[in-house]
Amino acid sequence: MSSAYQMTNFTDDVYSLENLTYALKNHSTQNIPHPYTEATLYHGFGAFGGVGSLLALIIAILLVSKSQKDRKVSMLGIFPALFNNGAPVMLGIPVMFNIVYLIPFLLAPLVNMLLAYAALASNLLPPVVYPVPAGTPNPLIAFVGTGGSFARLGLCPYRLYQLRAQLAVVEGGTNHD
Amino acid sequence: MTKESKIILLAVLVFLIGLAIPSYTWTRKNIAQVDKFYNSTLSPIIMIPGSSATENRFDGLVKKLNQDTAGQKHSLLKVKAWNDGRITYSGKINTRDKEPVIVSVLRTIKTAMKTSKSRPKWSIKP
Repeated sequence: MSSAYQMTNFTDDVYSLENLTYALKNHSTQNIPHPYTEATLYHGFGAFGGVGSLLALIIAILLVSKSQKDRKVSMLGIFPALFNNGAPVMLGIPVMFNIVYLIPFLLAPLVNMLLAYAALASNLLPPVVYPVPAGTPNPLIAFVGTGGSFARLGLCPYRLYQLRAQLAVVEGGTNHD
Repeated sequence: MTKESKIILLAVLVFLIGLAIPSYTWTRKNIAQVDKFYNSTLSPIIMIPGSSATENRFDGLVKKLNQDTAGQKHSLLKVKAWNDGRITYSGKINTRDKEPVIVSVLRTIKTAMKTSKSRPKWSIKP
């Protein structure tokens, strides 16, 4: 449930291997052969704390939600979500049966990936090419995968734009309760 | 925002910043290692025949290996170390071959028992 689309093993991902070989050969991550893949878009940017960018939803709930129960579940679920496991929140809130939370759950990763695509296409960000150990906290995946690009880490908060959207959603959602 | 949420969010932030430092050193080290491995000029396979076999022990194996590889063939170098300290070579490593097979053998060996007693004088005593 929380890991329907798990990180594949690096050695099984042909595109990642070709990208890595290219980067090592040319000592540069510019013009890699496959810039838009699962690893560079989805794992690096799309899944911000598990499936459906749940980390953003959790932070939004902690910031503005008035529901005591939701806040408690979020507090317990935030550390698992950092390590890409959203199960506690999926079951505890529950996200799947709440239409207000379900919409950002579906849309947030897509918007994330579209923005990442735009940033990669315009060379704003270096692509994720280097090996990332399984279980790396999601906000650090792109940082490790680009070989410690500080530009990448510095731009990490850009993803908080989605937090604003989630805040609005959560506020709207709790007003109905 | 309650006080509890503030503490949790702060803890997450501190946790991530704390993890960013070791992950930076790890990824730099890992990339340096992978880079060294990929860009090394030679990564040979060294084979040593059993004590009563000759340097031709692996000819068939290398031939079979080259049958299945399309394109680049792995070259075979045979190294013989003699009792008096001489080293002779047969075969060669092709200039553009990054993955040659090197077979190394101690000559003047008649039986397995004699082997240990009559190694070249510069070799390490067992």
